[in-house]
Amino acid sequence: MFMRKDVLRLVSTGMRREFEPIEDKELNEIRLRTDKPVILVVNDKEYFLDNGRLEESLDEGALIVREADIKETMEYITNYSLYAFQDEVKKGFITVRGGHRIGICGKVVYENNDIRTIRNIQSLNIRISNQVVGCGENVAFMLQKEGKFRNTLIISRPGMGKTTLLRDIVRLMSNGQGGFAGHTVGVVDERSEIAACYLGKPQNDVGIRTDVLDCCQKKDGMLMLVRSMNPDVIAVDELGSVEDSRAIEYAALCGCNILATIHGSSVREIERKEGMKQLMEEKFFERYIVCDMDSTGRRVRKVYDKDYDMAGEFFG
Amino acid sequence: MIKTMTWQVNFLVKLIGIVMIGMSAALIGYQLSAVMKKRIDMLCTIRFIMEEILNEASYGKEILPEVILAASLKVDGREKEWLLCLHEKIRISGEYDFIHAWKESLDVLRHTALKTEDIKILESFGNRIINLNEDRLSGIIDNYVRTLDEHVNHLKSEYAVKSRLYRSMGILTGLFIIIIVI
Repeated sequence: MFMRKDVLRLVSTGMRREFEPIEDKELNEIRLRTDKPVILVVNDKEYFLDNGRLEESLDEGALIVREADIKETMEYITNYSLYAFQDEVKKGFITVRGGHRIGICGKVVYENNDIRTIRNIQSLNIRISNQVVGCGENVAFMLQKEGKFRNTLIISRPGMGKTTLLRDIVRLMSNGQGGFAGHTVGVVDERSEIAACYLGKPQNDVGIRTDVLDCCQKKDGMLMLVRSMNPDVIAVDELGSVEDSRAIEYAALCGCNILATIHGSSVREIERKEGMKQLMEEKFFERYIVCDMDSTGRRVRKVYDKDYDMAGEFFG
Repeated sequence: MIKTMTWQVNFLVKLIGIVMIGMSAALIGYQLSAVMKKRIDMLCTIRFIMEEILNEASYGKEILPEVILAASLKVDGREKEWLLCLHEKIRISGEYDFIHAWKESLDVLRHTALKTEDIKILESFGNRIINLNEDRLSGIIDNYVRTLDEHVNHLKSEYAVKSRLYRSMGILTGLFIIIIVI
């Protein structure tokens, strides 16, 4: 299996020949830096590219990125239309067709203390989207009661798969799979990580009954969804602020259930966070899923109820 | 009687010939002025297309392939063909270099009323509108629109003079040939 066309089309034509034979099954990232060797991250391990082969050590034959390659790659990423992605460039990343996210580094230009743009782009980090369909199936049955979704909070450290899990649970709920009845789900995708919308269209499978507000702040998005889209469940990623908590309370008062994620390593740690104290005291969330890794490197999901008692433990 | 008939036939043939020469010479004159008019019309349409590109890009923040497609819906004829040809080439990002696609698509406009200098303006326009932020795109398109305005105004004033000249020359040439033939 060779590298996917949608990934191949992102890079400059000069580099494509070298990329083509790479099997992209476990390709996580492609790092391009001007005048530096191309680095591919496969299965969380770094490799250099040498005549179409992955090499662990850097040799003279390693493929080096030229400035023209970065310029051409940016043209393909933005469909020759940098102006259309100005807001995303300001945030430092662009989401493209297929749900892949490209991180951008260069010279940051400020105006009135706000970032205006990034110019002289010299580094790109192409993060390959790998939606894990089905990863939420083993926990799904614990997240509902009498046909209704339980307010659920997914907790994990970075890189442990909380967004991936949230996405799959949204998909299952929306499609009426995994024991769920079909629910109308509203997603506030502030950082375009859940649905990975490209020109407004979700590139990840988030289900047939899902409405997505892309690049919208959570505090605004939740209110907008409640007022206009009548969702059964609202899904948001990375809670943190007091405004987010207030928006959640409002949405709940309007009859919506909540599926959210938050950075952390345990339920107790979340209790101490400023924006979450009140919600935790009121036992707003009925289920907590803590995502972690065990000593052998396997992904573990521990499910807790609202009294912080463990209700289940799942692997994979 | 036969002599009278032959004379009449001769006269008729000459009359028909005179009319045909006169008409074709006049028509050539009109045709030349019509080509000038057509050129001006096409340049005005191209100016409209440039403004549409700016509007769609500024307000809709649409990517160029979609902007080109949207503009094609608002024009007809060869200009529409050109935009559709261009859209087909660039719609799949990464499959085709934009500048080459733009240059190749201009072939649709080559054998029309537009002259080489007009095609060159268009070619340079395509080279300059990619990979720009909103402000720069707006500035560049405004610049080209102004250039086209000046170009069209110049052609319009030329047309006012030349169209009369072509038509008059056509008629006069026709008369001249008629006189010589007679």
